[in-house]
Amino acid sequence: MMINTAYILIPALPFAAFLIIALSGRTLGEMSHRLAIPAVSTSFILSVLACVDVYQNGARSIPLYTLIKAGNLTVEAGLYIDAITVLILLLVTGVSSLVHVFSSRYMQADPRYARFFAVIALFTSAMIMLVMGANLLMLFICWEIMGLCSYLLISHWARRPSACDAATKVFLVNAIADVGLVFGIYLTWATFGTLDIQAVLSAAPNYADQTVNLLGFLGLNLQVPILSVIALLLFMGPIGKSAQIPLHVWLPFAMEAPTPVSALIHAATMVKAGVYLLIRMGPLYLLAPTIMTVVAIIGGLTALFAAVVALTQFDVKRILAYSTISQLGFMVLACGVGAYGAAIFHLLTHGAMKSFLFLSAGSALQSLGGAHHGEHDEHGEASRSGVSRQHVPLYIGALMMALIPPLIIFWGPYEQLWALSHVVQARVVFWILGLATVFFTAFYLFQGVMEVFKSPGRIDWTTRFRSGVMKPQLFSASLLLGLIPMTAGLAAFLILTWSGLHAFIAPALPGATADPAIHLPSGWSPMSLIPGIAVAIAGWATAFYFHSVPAHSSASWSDRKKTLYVFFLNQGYFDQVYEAMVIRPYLRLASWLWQTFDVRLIDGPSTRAVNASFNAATGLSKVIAFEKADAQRVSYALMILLGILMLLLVLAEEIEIYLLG
Amino acid sequence: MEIPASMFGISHLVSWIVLTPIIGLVIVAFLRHAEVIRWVTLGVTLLALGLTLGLWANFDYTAGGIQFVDRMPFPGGFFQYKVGVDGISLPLVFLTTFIIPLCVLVSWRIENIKAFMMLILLVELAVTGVFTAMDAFLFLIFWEIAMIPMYFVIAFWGGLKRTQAAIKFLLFSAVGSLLLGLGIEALHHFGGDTFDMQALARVTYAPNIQFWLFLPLFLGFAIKVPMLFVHGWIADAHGEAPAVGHVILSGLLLKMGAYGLIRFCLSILPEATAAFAPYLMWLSVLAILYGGMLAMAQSTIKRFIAYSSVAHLGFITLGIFGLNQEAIQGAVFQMVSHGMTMGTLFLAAGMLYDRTHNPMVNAYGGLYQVMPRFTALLTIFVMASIGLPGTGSFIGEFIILVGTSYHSYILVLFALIGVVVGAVYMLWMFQRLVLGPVTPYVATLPDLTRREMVAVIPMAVVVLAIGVYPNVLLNVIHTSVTTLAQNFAQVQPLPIVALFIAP
Repeated sequence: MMINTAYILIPALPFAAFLIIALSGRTLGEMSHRLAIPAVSTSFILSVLACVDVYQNGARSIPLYTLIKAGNLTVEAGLYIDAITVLILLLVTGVSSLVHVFSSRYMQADPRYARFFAVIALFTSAMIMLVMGANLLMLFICWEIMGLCSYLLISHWARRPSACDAATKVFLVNAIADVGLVFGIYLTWATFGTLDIQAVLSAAPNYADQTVNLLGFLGLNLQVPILSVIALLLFMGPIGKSAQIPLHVWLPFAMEAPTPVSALIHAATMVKAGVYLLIRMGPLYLLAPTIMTVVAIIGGLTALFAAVVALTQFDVKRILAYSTISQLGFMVLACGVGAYGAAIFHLLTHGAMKSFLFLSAGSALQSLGGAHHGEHDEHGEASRSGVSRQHVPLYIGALMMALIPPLIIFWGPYEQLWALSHVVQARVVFWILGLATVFFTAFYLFQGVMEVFKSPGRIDWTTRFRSGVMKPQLFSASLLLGLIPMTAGLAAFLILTWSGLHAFIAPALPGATADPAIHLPSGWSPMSLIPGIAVAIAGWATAFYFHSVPAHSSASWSDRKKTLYVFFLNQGYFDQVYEAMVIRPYLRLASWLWQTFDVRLIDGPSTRAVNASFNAATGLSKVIAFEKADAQRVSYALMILLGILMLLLVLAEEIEIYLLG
Repeated sequence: MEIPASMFGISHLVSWIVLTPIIGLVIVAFLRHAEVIRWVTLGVTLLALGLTLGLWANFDYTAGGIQFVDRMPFPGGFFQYKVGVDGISLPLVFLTTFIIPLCVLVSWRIENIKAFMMLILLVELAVTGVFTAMDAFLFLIFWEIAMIPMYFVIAFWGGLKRTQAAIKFLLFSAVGSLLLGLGIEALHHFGGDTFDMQALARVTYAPNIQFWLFLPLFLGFAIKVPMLFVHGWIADAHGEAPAVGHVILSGLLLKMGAYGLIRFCLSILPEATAAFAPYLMWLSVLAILYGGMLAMAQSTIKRFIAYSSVAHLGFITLGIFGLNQEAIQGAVFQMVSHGMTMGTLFLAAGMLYDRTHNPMVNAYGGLYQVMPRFTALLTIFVMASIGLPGTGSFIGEFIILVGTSYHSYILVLFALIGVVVGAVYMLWMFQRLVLGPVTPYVATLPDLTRREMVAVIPMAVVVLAIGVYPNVLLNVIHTSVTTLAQNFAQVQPLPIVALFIAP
């Protein structure tokens, strides 16, 4: 009982903090963080305890209350906690606590300080509930609340029109993706008669042979396995939330948010919700091999495309955004080939790593921008920000980031990734995709670092603390965040973490209890590390070469090369295509419908009728000598007369009976 | 006519709820001081709310039929006074008595206070009457009464083009009432010379008679909802009405149409309804998309919300004509949720308009800095209107679509696209009004007063409460809808032509 309460407190504490801060309005003001930080930190401590509990006692489910009961539809709100949940909980609450601490300094003197803390507390609570929720409806509810928080935070500096536009765009792109997700949830309910995730997953094998006619409404017959349809529709959610092609366009826009938000929501936690969904629904996906391939292809394409785009960008935050997209693509790729352990591992490492990068980028940019960071264009361009001393955390982070992908991608966990794809061609494609992405990742990260550190100087930490650029609070947060991946990386290097982690999550992983044909190997072969490292080194070398040889400037490029460069520089023209193909036609259609259809066809006759009645009344008033009578009142009187007449007509029979006995 | 032993007992609660506004009306008629009038009206409407809560507390969740029936035949005898509530009407009575006190608060300082308050009380009488009447003729009387105050509210307290809007409203209403009157008279004729709705529902009508009964009744209610193609009046009426007019119109009057569809078409004419339902579901989905797209093309705030209202009511009619437990239950749930959400959105638009008297969306911007409280509340209701989880609308739409999925997945898909269309226009409006740089036009606007906050916050609380714990409302609706839905489980849906030529 006590344990259940403790579990409920994990999401409840940040939610309580949100409620109190939101309701107290401006009275709490700059004190808001004193409420939010303890709440979230306590959640973190409880998550650590939860981790221990799950390690000792295994998975646990906690029923809460009946959410909906309508006919056959019954949804019970409840929590389900297993190894996957607690690991992501650790990441969410850990990163969130640090971001809270960081923000208390970063957001100082912001006029909407309390609002900021209310929303990030709400976000933390929603993300916690998302990973703890026992059914798909709760997952979706939290999914959308996170979207709302994202919207509110991107538009935080609402004076900037670009921020407002970005917020709306981000929300809408996600809304489009969510149509698929909700539709998938309806279909899940219609197929399984329940939305409880564990019940669905355990019942899924019984439906493996069931098909559905997709073109029934057209009178055609196209039989498709029902599980594939559900899996594909549910995958729409991750395509939106985890920024996969073709809906990845929102993530760069999301960088309009204050930097701590970019760290918390748009790199470390919220974007992982899609990957979490794929992992959680894994057993269902394993039964739909076609969709697994689709997932893998989209993930791989995203990873590669975003890495190349990141190569061509100048804006620090945009580079980080595309790097996030690329890494998310990797996680989705891992899910697509059934390497769920690898996906979780990458999810955790990347979450800690990327939030560190963002926070250090934020502190660096803040020190450049001065106190009124919010009101200026916050995007520092990497090429211009040569003030090197303030970028040490960024430097460390970027170095780690450049170092880590080849290490973790081609080592331990990813052994699964390559071993699992049974088809040889597929394996080759994934190899190529993976290696190419590693190459470009190494390339752009190294390039980014070198751009920033054009003139490396001696770092005088004492001055930095004293000058207030780097407050101890800020520094410790950055340091802590840096320590997590560093420790993780080192421990990982000693393989101990992987086998330990694998032993911990193995029972919870999809496919663990499935038939032995899709057995997940947990072994590790050092041989697979070699090509990865080699490609990474090649990437670094190329970056260094291009950087150190100024002659290789764009002027000397061939035309085709230039075209390619411009293509990627413009992020593949996705935004422009959407603008021209979707947004403008939609607006034109809306205005056409209104002007031509509604005003003329539907409103026209009634307006004419109104005018006619008006004229009739005026005419009548002249005839019956109410010369000065207000036409409107006469018309009203006419209406009443008409009504009474009608009433009499209706009741003629009864009145007759009544009068005549 | 016997006088019951306990005039004030629980058995007469419904009558008391309907009577309270009349008593208030009479008292206010004799009062002179504006301040006294305000407080008396507020007191009376709060009393009605208290009585409704008492009714709710004594409501038997497990009984499907009409409860708290109170009847009194009139000497003449062709119709009777008969009221009562079931799980479908109780939430709507609650919605009415909940919204009216808030309307009183909002129009605290309006001109011609006495006339206005009397009209509001008249509205409360009429709407509670419509939701509780169990006699078709009584229903028609209350229905007619509800039009009158609305006409005056638009015509005297409205905007620039108020005269035309009011007449248009009246014209549509009169046509609707005419059809309704015809339908009810025909029901009376074929249903064994009675207006008693329970008795009418027990009669089995031949399919071809049902067809002719269904048409006028359906059209009469559809105009009031309004369903697509008969929505011509709504944009004008909303465009010109004062703040409280919106709330009454969208929160209460439109719900009367939807309620009528359930009470008459579904309960009394199941075969005809089942025959028409598939087409009406498509029409509803079309309304969701059409209303959403048209909202996008508007440049004034009120017309914008009016079209979005068409879209939202599409969801409600989609649920009603889903004809199964989930869909109808969701529709009734959504009626309450929509009444609160859209009512408040209109209220917000009205508050803004009352401050500036400028209807154009483009004139606004950056309200978040000038009116932070307003912004916070608007955020909640805009999100509720989009159907964001955590608010009542999400639950309502979700259940409706679960019910719809029994019929067709294509419908569900289109409705979901409609949700996105809804999100597009809502966010578009929200961004232009609230975000961005402050326009000089709004720089000096005062934020919400304490009185306005008191009026809006209860709505927010209800919208969020039924979003987080929807069962509190679903439980009330459940059993009554079950009885209704069981009817349809046995009905063999005929094609319309077959219905027409069947004996």
